[in-house]
Amino acid sequence: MANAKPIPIPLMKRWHCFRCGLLPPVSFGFCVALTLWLWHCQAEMPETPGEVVRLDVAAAADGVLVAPPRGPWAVSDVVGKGEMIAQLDDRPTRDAIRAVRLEINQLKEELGDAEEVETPDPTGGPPEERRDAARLAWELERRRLDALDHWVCIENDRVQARFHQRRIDYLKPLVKTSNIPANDLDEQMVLRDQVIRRIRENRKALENARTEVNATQARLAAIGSRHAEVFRRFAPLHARIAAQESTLDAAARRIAALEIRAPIGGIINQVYCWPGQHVHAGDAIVAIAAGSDGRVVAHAPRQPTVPSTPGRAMAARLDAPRRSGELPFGGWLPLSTMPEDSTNNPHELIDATLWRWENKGKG
Amino acid sequence: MSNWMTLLFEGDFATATGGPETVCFIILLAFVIGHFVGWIYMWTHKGLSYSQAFVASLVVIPVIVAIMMILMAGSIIVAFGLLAVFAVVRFRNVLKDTRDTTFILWAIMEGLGVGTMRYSTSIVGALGVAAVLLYLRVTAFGSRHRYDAVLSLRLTGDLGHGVASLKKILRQHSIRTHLANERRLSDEGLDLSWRLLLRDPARSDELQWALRQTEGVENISLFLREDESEI
Repeated sequence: MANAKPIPIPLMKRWHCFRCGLLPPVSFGFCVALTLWLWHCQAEMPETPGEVVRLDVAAAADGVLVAPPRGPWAVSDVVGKGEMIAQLDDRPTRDAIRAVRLEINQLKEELGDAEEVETPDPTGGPPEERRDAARLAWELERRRLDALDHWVCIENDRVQARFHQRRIDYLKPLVKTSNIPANDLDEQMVLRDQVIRRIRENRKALENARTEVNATQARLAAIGSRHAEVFRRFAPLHARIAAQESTLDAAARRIAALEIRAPIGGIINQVYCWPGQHVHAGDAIVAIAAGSDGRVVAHAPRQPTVPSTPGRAMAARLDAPRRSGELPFGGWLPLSTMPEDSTNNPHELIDATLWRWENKGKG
Repeated sequence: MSNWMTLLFEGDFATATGGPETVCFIILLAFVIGHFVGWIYMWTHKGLSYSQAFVASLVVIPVIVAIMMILMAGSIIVAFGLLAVFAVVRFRNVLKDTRDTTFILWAIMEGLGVGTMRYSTSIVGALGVAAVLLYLRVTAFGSRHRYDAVLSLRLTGDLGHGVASLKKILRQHSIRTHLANERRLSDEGLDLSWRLLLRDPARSDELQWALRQTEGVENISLFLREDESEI
């Protein structure tokens, strides 16, 4: 009896002793460790409210808005990057190009007449050299007119190519739904390809023409300085050709600005102008809120808890709720873009490149 | 599954100052600190008015208040509304127990969360508080003297030998013993009262039989009980 061993403790009793005795400190220790880890995560990636980038898509030139092939955009429409938002009416551009073409024809006739006229020499110098200078000057203007002619064809064909492309974009969905025969679409595509081929050929020809202009200019410069009257004779023609070049240059730039495309993909947030309205260069057409591959702008407050170390990772919280698969949750802010000493604003605007939630932290 | 997880953790439609991991961190930190506060209260309490329910409330209330602060999010209007709700509830209900107050607080917090469109925070908060309460239940947090039997007996004759034999028997049958009461009788021996944490309460008869066989041990009374009751 005196040396009897302690009786065994049943399992339920052991469990009772464990959960009342050991479990609380073990749980406490585990919770402390978990808390410290979460705290570390919070400090590593502090959060700041952010908002998706909203961009105003503006017209690059003056003109009247025309609806894109898909039709006018409305709020909440989803637009892809590079998709056409609107286009400007190309009739003024085509009219300008037509006017330049007419002027070129007129200039060609005047140049032809100018070739027959002999230029008198008040200084009485050698006539052969004077004739060479006159011929070179005439040759220069002729080559410039040739180059201008090719250029006009190119710009005209660019407008034509856009027209055919618009037709193709309009017909494609209709052909898919089998509302119209595919012949119309094929015809437009053939015409577009022909125009594109023509543009390519004219570009080559333009390059050659410009090379010849430069060569003629160089030759003229060598002997022309002694025959100022030659230059005076061709000066008006030279000026008019230059004016047409300038007009055509403006038309070419305008052609590039005829189509207004979305710089980012996302959702149409607001529509400022509608088809039929006249817009000036810089007028906003629509506002796009960045989509899933967009950017977030976040305000990183300057607080001791958020040290502004360049390259520090931060998570940008977006105010709006997101549906699954859309804008990711976290973001990384490259604080290297933040100005070091800005005393005016307590908050700095920082661009944040969004990362997918599952790829958070990866490059 | 991922859609449900998204709905659960990112369903706050009002302005959120932090994400779900922030809410989890806050709940956990509040629980840890409340746990610490409860322990300190347990270790430092003297007197007769000790209440296990009160200690449990000390652990839960920081969690509920922390979630409430998240939900208020610095809005003075919501704070005044909360004050009004508290006043109405307290006016209509006399809350006898601290634990009842805790549950009332929890219910109010959930209503506040859902009403302010902080659905995810409300759900995460509900799960967190429920987990804390379950933890307190499982661990019987707050109970101090965990003994499950009271042994009273009278020791006569050779007291030294008697006490030594008694201790050996108790060591055989108990995990922990505590001499609660000792009364020396003039020429008649010693009245002892032990609190025991038995190794196997089902074999308490064996303990009683062993004590009866011990010379000098009389008036044996073994009273099985749970932890000390609330006052």
